[in-house]
Amino acid sequence: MYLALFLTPWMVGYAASTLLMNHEAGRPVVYTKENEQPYSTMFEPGTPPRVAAEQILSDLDLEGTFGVAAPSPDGKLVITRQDIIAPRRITFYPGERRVEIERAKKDAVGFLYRFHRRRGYEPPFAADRAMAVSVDLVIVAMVFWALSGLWMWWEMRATRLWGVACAVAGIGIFVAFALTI
Amino acid sequence: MSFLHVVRRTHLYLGLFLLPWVIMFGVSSIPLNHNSPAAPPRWTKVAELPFTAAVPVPATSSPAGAQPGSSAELRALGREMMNAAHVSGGFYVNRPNPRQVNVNHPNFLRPTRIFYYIDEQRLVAERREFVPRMFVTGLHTRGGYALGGFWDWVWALFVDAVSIGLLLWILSGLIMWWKIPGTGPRQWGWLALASGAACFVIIMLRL
Repeated sequence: MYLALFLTPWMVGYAASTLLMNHEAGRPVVYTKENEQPYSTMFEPGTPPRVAAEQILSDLDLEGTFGVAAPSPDGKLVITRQDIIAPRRITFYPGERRVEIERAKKDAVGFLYRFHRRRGYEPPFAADRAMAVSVDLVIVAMVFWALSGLWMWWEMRATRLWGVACAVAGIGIFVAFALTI
Repeated sequence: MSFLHVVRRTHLYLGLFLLPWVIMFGVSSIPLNHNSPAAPPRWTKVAELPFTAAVPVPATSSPAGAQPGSSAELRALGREMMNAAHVSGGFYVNRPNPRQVNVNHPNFLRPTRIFYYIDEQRLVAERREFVPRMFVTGLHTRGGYALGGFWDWVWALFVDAVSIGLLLWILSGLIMWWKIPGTGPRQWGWLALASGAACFVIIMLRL
């Protein structure tokens, strides 16, 4: 019970985001310009985009988890700095020696989509690690709730018949789906 | 029959019915959260045949004045490709380049992909080998009502049921917690709820 109370925000987030994703409620991210500034650092030809992007983010004091697209023929580099509430898009124009920083418009649906998809231990940042640990905690909790729920049900003799009917129906339907579709 | 009795029984029977989905969503999150590189799966050709069909003009390369093909037209072509390859059920369709249309027919055990090479007027269908990790993650990520297969639609209905079930378990769990007599469980419960909310907010603000 206490574990469930602790994890209530995660479970509400996962339930709500699953509903939205199942109904394909996501919309393209809308960015608005936040800042534009000169940027004089130049990179050697052949510099891997991730290395250049990391340097740009560091220089702009925007270190964090990011994605970067392959540079365009004119060298333009588009970096997406992940942020669960409002991601930023940083565009580096090497020919003009400037960077443009845009921020995504805040929206609840986008937040829930990003929340649902944020996972993994790869990013070397504390917040990402904390999120990944919380995802693991949710995993352990879900399996624990399922098993402890089974045990508590079995202890209640009066509910065994209907409980077996529900469990067998659920397992049967699930297995049929998993093996056929 | 009291309100609390109804809440408890709903919590219990809904939980027992949806138990496989709850375990599946939990267990399948392990490979997603602990992603490790794996060898690409093997695909086996199951059909290759001559095929000709009208291809809608992609929006990105439609000539001036021409109406780009709608996604409905592309889906109609996808259905033709599915029929030609003798595959039934739901599918995704996309046109990655002007010379090719791809169809992906999801299947938890062995999905099928179909390629239409427009210039060569040739259709190739391939089936993926069974990969346990992909089977599990496929169960997790499959959803939506737009695939076009009846049983895919029913699966999406169950995904909705699990989501609503989760919200009902949270709500009924909160009610059951609140109804426990004595101040101890309530105080500890508030502590768990508040600390969880605080951790969640801190992580979200830092992510």
